[in-house]
Amino acid sequence: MWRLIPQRLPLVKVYVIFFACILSFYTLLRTSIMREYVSEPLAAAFASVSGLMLNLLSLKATVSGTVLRVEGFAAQIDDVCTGIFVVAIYLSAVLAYPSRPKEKLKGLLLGASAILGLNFIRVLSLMYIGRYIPALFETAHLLVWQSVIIFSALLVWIYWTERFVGAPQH
Amino acid sequence: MLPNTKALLTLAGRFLLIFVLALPLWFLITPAYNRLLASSVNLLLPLSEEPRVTTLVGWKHFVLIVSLETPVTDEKRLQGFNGYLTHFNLILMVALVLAPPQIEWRRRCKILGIALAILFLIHVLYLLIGVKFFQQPELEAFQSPAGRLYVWGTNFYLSVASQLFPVLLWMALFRMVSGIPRRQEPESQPPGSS
Repeated sequence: MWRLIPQRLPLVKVYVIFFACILSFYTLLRTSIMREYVSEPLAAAFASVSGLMLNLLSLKATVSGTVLRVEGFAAQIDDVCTGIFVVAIYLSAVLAYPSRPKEKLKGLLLGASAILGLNFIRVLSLMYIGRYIPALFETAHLLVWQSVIIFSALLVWIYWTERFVGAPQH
Repeated sequence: MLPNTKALLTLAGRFLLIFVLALPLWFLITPAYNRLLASSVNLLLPLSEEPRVTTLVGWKHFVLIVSLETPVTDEKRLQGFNGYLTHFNLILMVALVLAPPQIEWRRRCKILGIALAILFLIHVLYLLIGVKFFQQPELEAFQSPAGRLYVWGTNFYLSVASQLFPVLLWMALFRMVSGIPRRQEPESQPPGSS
């Protein structure tokens, strides 16, 4: 058993870095400074762009801070709804995986844009569901979209490891 | 299109198909699962509560926290939350295990059984910790270190861990039970041969 430890050391290192990154990012994102300067502006940006898109899609929407309203339905976009925690999980996986800094940067850009982009579609679809099929809102919000977003992050991460990582040690 | 991209798209398609097919089944099972969770947590609550002041009840798609304290106000006697918050990740786990193609059904069932058992234990643990959070979410109730740990643990589970556990379990179990297929190295050719 002891002979296996040196062989598995790289894997253990990956796990330790991954969990350390997740805990650090989570703790950081929960601080009042990060909430004020990152989470809340991101939520407000999501609300504004979603409001704009909904108006273009002929669903009359109004935005007030992080609250998005359409006729007969309103929703508040909080920090969890922005997908920033999934980006943090993804980023932790990218940082932990053995690769070069340039590859990590590519991974970060690819993953963050994919996750945030998909999350934007999620917000739009949830407003439509809330407006037209409110009975399904909770299911779509808590059950379907959360699973789809994390699965998408997993897919993007696998794609990044296969397509962009060329480090000899992996 | 890269070969791996095709494989990933196949995986995504199978995942979505299984997810959609399993969703109605999950709705049928949820009330029973809520009752099972509530009963299991009730067995363990005496370990964290002395004297016993709460009991959990699974009711339809909700888990209710019933206060046993007297006297109580009407608002305090009964609180509840949607069971999805705790165990939405079950269906994610099922879809993740069933989605990858070309895996023996026996191994797949073994992985699924282990994964669901671990998730059940995680749900019980979460409810055991979370009952304090849902019971008294007012900030002033959490000034003690233990109280702050309840808040941190509950928020961490809801924001990060609930989504992360199925993915980590999936990766770990496929590695342990099935093993990761190694890429075939090109056979070494003798020098001079083309």
